[in-house]
Amino acid sequence: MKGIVFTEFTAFVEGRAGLDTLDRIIDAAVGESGGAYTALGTYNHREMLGLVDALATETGQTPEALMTAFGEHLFHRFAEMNPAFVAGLDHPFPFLEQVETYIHMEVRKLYPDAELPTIATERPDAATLCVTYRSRRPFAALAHGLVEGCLDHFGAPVTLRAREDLPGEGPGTAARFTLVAEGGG
Amino acid sequence: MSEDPGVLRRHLDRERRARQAAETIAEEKTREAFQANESLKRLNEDLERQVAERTAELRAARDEAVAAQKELQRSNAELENFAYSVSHDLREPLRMVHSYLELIRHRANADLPPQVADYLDRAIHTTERMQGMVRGLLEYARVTTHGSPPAPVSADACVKAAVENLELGLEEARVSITRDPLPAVCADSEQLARLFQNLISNAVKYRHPGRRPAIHVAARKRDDGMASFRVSDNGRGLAAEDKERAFQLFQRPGDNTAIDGTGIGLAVCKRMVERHGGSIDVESTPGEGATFCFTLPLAEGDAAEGGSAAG
Ligand code: HEM
Ligand SMILES: Nc1ncnc2c1ncn2[C@@H]1O[C@H](COP(=O)(O)OP(=O)(O)OP(=O)(O)O)[C@@H](O)[C@H]1O
Ligand SMILES: [Mg+2]
Repeated sequence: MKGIVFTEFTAFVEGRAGLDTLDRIIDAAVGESGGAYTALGTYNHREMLGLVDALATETGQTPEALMTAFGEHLFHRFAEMNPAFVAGLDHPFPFLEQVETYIHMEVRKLYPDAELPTIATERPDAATLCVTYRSRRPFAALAHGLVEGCLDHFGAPVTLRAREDLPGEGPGTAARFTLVAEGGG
Repeated sequence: MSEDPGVLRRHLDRERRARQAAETIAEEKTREAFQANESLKRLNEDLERQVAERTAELRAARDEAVAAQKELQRSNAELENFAYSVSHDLREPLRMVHSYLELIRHRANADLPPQVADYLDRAIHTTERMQGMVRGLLEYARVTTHGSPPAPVSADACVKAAVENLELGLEEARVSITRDPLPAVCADSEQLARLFQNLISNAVKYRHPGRRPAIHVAARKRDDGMASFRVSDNGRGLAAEDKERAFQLFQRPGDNTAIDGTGIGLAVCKRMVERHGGSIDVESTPGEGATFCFTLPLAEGDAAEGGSAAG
């Protein structure tokens, strides 16, 4: 997993819970020699799962809820760092429809070693968008948060009607999010 | 911020290690980029060298081809001149042989034993055939050695000239000749008249025994700047397997026992058409007639108009 996700995560924890908490979860998850993340590096995605678990133990919240909260934060950061991806769009539907075909494609050009999921979309009717996440890694909760962050970013009257976990390569590796636009598409 | 100096120290330490890691990665990436750039440069130089080599090779091959072509042209010209001089120079002694044989027949005919008189007749006949062949060969060689440069000429006028030359024979056989308006072409006018004359005389020579000969000359302007001509007759026609041979020198396919000829006419036609950058061919249904088709470059003005002359 790219370092950018880790540096954003440590900044997220420090901002919400303080440096002491960050220090403890790093110590608990990866020991004193670890946790020196740089956006240029690449780290094992299990380290991210460990950090989130440690944060859960620390805060009493579920790892799921924390990962989703981080996803929401991460979306805003992605949008800030890559204004070109959101420029010119005023609705989450067309944006989400090009994550797979454009955004993650650009990510792969920049980082050939990026480990990306597939984000498939489908419109059963004009007012509904189904976003299906599939990955070899269990980050459905992160995808959930990214979707929430996306809705929040565009501020359009769209709600996440349902999240359905799908059978995949293990728990949390596949999920479908059903988004509905209020008042018809 | 934390109050705990231990936390702060560890945080600082992590940040420092992260920075070192980032620097190492950045350095590594820079080196990679530099090396990629270097190998691109090498690749580029390599490609340029290969292109230069290939260009030189191609140029050498082209020069060689041009030289070979020139050499071929030279030896062709030499051969043509040779064929021309040989046939030209053979004419005189051949004429002498013929004259002496005639003289012998004239003076001694009554005294000759019948068998010897027969041999003499055969020798004279063979000499005449040989004279025909030499004349034909000379005509064939002259197509390229003595042709005039192509110039705009009316095909109509050339057909007229051909018909005038053949007048007697045509009248005798009660031939009907019709022609459409023909375009102007870029050709040697003497050769074009000769071309029509050979085709028309063949049409009469190889007529159907049961029909009055009818000949029609038509032409069409093509988009590629060529005129395509058709000389059609209602004669005996020729079999598919004889078509190619009919255009070869001294070849007379088909049953020609009763028809005189040397097999030169169509070979000369083909040579003349090809000298002008055209081609000649024949279509035929045996027993019904033959159509000789050939192409010649249109004259500038006629080519620009495009479309088709009546056809
Ligand atoms: C501006 C928008 C976005 C940018 C720049 C972006 C970029 C990235 C990057 C750099 C990664 C890390 C790749 C790696 O770890 O090697 C990533 C992973 C991921 N992205 Fe996106 N992304 C964006 C939008 C989204 C959205 C809207 C979704 C969800 C619908 C999404 C879902 C994910 C998930 C779930 C992962 C990691 C999980 C896995 O490995 O399975 N991304 N993305
Ligand atoms: N219009 C035609 N119809 C049918 N057969 C033809 C026609 N024109 C030519 N041929 C055939 O093609 C052969 C070759 O013709 P070509 O004009 O070259 O020679 P030739 O007429 O036999 O002799 P030459 O023209 O030299 O006196 C002829 O012997 C004949 O068999
Ligand atoms: Mg002839």
